Amino acid sequence: MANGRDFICRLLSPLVAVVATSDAEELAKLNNLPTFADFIKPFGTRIKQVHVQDSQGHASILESFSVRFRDWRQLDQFNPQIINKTVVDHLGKHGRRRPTFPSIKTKEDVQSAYSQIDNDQLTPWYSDYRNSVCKYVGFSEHETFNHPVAYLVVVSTSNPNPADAAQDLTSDSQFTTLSEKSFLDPAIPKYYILVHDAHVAPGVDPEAALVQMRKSLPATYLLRINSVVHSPPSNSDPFNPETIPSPTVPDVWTSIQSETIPLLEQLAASLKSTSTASLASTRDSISSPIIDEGFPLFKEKGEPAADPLGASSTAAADSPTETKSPAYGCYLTNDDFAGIDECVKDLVVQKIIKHMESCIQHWNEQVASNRRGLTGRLNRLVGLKYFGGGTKSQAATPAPVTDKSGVTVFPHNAPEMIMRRLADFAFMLEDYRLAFGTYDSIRKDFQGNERFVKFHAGTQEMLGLTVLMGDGIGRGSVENYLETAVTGYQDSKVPLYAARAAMLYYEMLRERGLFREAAPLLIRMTGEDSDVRSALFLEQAAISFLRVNPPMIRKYAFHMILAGHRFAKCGQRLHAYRSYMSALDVYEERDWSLVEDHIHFILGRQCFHLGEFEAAVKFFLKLLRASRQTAAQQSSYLREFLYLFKQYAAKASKDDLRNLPPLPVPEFNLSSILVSMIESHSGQPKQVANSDEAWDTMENELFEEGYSKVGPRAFRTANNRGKTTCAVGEPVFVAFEIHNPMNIPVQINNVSLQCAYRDKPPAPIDLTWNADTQAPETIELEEFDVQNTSEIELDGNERKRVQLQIFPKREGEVRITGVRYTLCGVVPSCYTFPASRPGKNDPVSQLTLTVTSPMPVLDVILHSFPISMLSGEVVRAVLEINNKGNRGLRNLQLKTSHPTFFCVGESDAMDCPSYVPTDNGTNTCESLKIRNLLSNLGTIPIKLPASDRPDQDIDGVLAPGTTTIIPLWIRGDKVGKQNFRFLFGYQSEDKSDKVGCRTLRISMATNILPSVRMNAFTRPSGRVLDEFILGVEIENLHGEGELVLKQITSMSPTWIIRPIDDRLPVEEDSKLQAQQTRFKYLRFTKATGPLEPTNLAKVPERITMRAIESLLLGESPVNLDAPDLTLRLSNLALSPTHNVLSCDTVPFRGLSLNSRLQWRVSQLLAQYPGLTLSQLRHLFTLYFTDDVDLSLIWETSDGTKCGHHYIMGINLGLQAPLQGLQAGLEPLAAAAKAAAGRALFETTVREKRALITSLLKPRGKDVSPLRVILKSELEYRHDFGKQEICSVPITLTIRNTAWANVANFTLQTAIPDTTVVGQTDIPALDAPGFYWLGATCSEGRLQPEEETSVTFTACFRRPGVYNVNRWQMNISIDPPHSGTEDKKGVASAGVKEGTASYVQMPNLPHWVTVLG
Amino acid sequence: MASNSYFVIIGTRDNPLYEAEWGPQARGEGGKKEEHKHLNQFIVHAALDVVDDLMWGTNSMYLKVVDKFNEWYISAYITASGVRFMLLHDAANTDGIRNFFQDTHELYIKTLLNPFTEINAPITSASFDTKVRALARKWL
Repeated sequence: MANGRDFICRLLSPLVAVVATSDAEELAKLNNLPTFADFIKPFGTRIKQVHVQDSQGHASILESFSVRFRDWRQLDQFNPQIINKTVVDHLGKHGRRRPTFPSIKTKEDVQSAYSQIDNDQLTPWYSDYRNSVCKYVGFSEHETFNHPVAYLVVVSTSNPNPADAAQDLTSDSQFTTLSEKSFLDPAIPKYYILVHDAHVAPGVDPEAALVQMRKSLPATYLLRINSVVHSPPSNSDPFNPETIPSPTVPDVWTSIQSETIPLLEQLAASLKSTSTASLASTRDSISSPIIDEGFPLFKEKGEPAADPLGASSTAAADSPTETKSPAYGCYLTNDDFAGIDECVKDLVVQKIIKHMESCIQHWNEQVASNRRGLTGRLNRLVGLKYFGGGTKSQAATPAPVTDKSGVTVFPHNAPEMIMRRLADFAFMLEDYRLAFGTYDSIRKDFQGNERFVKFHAGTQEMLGLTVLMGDGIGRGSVENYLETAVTGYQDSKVPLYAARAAMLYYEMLRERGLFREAAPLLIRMTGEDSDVRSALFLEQAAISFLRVNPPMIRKYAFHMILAGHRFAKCGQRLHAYRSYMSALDVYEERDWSLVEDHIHFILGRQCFHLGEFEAAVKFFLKLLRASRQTAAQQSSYLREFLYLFKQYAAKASKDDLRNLPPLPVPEFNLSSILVSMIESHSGQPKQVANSDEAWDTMENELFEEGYSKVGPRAFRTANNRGKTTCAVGEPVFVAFEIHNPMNIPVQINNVSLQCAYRDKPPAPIDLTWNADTQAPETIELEEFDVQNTSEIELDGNERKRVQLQIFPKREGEVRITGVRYTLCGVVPSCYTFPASRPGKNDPVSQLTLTVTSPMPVLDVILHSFPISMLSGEVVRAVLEINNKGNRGLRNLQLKTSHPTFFCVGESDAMDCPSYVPTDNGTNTCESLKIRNLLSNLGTIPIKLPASDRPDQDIDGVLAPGTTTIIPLWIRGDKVGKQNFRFLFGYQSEDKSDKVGCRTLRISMATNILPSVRMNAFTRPSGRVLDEFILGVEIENLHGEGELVLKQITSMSPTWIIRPIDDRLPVEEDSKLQAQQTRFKYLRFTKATGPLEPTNLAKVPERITMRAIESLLLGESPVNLDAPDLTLRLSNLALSPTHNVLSCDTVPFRGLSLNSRLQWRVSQLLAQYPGLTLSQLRHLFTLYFTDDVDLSLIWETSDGTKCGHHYIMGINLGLQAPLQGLQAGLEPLAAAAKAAAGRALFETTVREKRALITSLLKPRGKDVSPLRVILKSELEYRHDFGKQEICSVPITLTIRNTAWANVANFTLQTAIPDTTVVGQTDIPALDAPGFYWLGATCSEGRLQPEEETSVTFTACFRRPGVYNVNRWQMNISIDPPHSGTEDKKGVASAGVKEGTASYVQMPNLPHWVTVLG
Repeated sequence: MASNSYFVIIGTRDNPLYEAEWGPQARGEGGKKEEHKHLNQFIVHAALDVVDDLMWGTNSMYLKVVDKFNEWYISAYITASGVRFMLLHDAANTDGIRNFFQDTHELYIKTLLNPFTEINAPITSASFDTKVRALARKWL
């Protein structure tokens, strides 16, 4: 099809009805063509260069001209149903070829994809439809294009008397019925063709026959053809391919035949399927009489016996058309071909066009001009109605007749009909000016009359077409013409014509590139009446949107969807699928969720119906997701998917099912995967996922602190990041979270782990879920068993934790590769865990299990763990320790995140109370031996009860399957919500076990409420050199009532507490109301005498000093060999009614030591930021000599809760414990600094320097270590009259409180100033009130802890009150001895420089009253 | 609200950023509505082509009714960044829709002011949703 104009010209070209004798038809059949009309048909379109004259007599040349030849029996209208059926048939055929449109995603794609492709190539099914509808609508009463212009009577020379045969043919009764159709003009000319085939009629002289015929029938032409091969074909197999020569002439028939044959076949099929009796009712009533008689060709098929030519020839004619592409006209020679061409051209040019021209001339003069004049108009207005036979010419005017079915028919000689023919003829001869004028004038005739709607629509259609064809001829809007035409046709129930009109317009618009106009036109034509047509038109509209500039791809997509919808409705699944697919390209990846769902759903459904289950499943899988879709919609999707899958599963092989893509439902939360040896208990401490760095740190510390004996290699394997180690025979629990993203509940069945042993592929597990029979609990495989959970329900949007088990049965490596499950009991699927990434905390990496020989498995349950407690409160919880493995468990260690909160006892200490009441009165002292080291904090070995079996070593071993309970005391050390982490480590009793140690993690949370706040202060006692006053401020913060203060306990190596005065009774009231504050005053006294010099080296401070020295000198760190320390606990009850509680209990001891340790470490870390924890451990002891910790024990008034608070780290030494260190180490520091300048490794040196600086930085009080107390009588009575001067001895007691330093002092009494008080009668004018008498200066040297006293004499000249505390002391301190002898040189060198010196002055007055 | 409407903000990739429906059908009173919810998206998406066409022919951001499908009208509003507001409605209400679009535009700009907003990311803010619905009650 060249273009729209050609198409229309050919379509609306003169029609010539062919009437052939049976012998002529026979000739056509020899050429494999059913009728002679078919034979000659192609030649009608091969006419070029035709001269025509228009109505004015102007000659013009038409480049090409067409004539349509049609068998006279096929003139009638085809039933629209037949056409529809044919079209559907075509569609199906094209669909089976699986056409695809170029994929369009963006506008840019359109240009490249569509510029080269013609619509006819793109949518051949549309072209077929168009051709079927346009070319085969048959004749109609309202237009004359399909009325024959002439008859062509064909006879063969094999006929003995061709002329008579021709005459007979035209007078045949059948033929006359056709002529009797009132709207057909019976008077059209007849032309004759004599066909000669030398092989069929060998003895006939064609020329003679022609002359013979022309005698009676002058318009006769001779046609020579060759219908038989030159060598006659074998009779047995006339259609053997070898005997058929290759055609020598161009094949002009195939394309046309391929259009016609399906239509005719459909017709035949419908005729066959309906009985002749019912035939009439199914057909248009007008055409039924003809149809009954017509189409004898197809009657042959139905009733072969009736065929005069015999069955054999019918079969021969039929078989090639049905079985293979027949070689049409293959016996023709080129001469024949040219002859036919020539003959047809002669016929057309000489006869038909001439006839039409004369008709136009005639009608234009006779009828049209009449009507154009005034009379004509008048007649038109009134004549028809009122003056039926007013004038002579009009008397003969036939009036339109309406037959019983309501169709109005104008007789052929009615002026309207003639005018219409005139216009149509003019149109055919391309005289558009005349055509437009004539159409316009008859339009007015039909306007406004209900009965003429169809006629009116016809003229409208033609007017519009004329405008389009005529290039500027005519006026009016094409859209309007089409609009009225279509409406008219639809009103008169001939949608086929409406469609034809639209398609003709579309062709023209397309040719002109008016796609923007074409699309709405096509869309308008989509109605509810025909889905096929709507679909085709919508598709064309969609393509038109693409051809608009710029392309409208979104409109395209939308209309493709609409087209697809229509295709689906009329059962054209392949086309529907194609349409939806091409639209999907546009919508994909743009988040139009509902659109995508809809498309996927339809595509899935179509795929299913097309038998492409896998594709269908894939589309449906895309629907199972979170979206805005309603629950109802989603559940219908799911239902359909399940149904569809059932159908599929019934047919598909197991491999097919296994290779299905994974289901999107449910979603697996990878980060939630937790592999553990222990089943998680509901309501019990949850095992925690290990995606936490804190756990890793704790684990590392646990290994370092608790299992360093095991050796690094051993626990590398256990601690092989991610890999989970488990033992044969013990279940491994794999827990993970699944999420249902949809809004509807789903159910998954037969959930089990898919695992692979070593490098084997995953073991296939194919369980089909069956609701009736119970699925097995476990699936047993060679290397392991897998637990099978038969059903898990998931509500819409629900997240659920699922736990599955695997039981390894053989040592080696088991990889958990995925989870198998069956969705809703129908769809088996497997979720495959992704390969683990090298990241440290990838939860997937734990899915590789290393199966070892049997191991212990620890399970811990915490009983009576408090959810909430008071700060300081001590509560006992119970650890239930189970060994669920197959080997004994030993070396159990616990690491907690909050070490100060916990104390683990032994199993026999289960009932040990926190505090033991004694009957020792209100003041006791206990002693406790501790290791004075900064031991590992927070890693607590749990002592397991000794085994009954004698062969076990001293380690407690927990036999497999046994349980033990261990007390765990918890003290609320810190206010607030606390999340405790417990990390248990343990080993197998089998010493040769390679696994090393295993761990278990538990976390708990507790809320700690405030209870008591405690502050303390100390100051030196004013009376005794060796005592301190302690003030404790206690405030009750507990909101809910009073607390009973029970006792205060001090813990110190050297100091104990005593009441202020031992003789005073203990206060009665020890209750503290809420928000109340109370002060308690106590005394610290020293419990021990001065240190033996031999013990000096064991003083903690000295040990620390030595350790620091060796660190600074760069020696390798040695373990601190601090001796065990005897800690003195002095308990002081705060209420007389209570006896003292013994604090030497397991929980109190443990908790206190933990707290002390924690405090000490954090304090040291803060003080020496340059040091690491392990360095601290090698440098510092837990207690220094003068350290005191205080603890206050209280209970609630109802006695249910009791606890204690601490005040840590009171240091009662006057000087900082490491005083003098600075002096001693200065030279070392200097040396280090000097070395730094030369060092290559500057960073190392810099680090060291920072360390030294941090160690040397003076901290704390830097005061003189000497304490001085002045003693004298407070009151003297002296008779100044007797003796002028009163001299009074004043004793100063001096004590060196330092533990190591030797102090040199120079004491000098100071000149008193005017210190006279209260003696007003004697003015203090010239002199101070008293003088020192005698030696006013004293020097001395004090060893550590040494006391001395110096006595001065003060003399008073008159009575009064004097402050005698007036002296000044200069103190210099010898640096401590260096620890080792070989350092002596260095140390002694520093003696001079490192002397610390202080000046001490009294700060309190000491009043002496002298009475006169 | 007697009339049904469907409002969608469309990003520059032609992806919906925010969708909302109002009216009896959205509340499920229309009965058959459920199955045709996707149609709204289809219609609006198709109308984008018309918006592309019309936007160059006017200075104003409000393009009035740009397209029609059966009984539905599509009004459009285009912002400077190329984000389009589309409203599918079945009753003419030019001024109300203009006001609605303008106020929604302001809301949208406020959303964009959030430094964490990406221009083509869906708007999931509940307060945005509430405010748009309030505007719809006010103007539509």
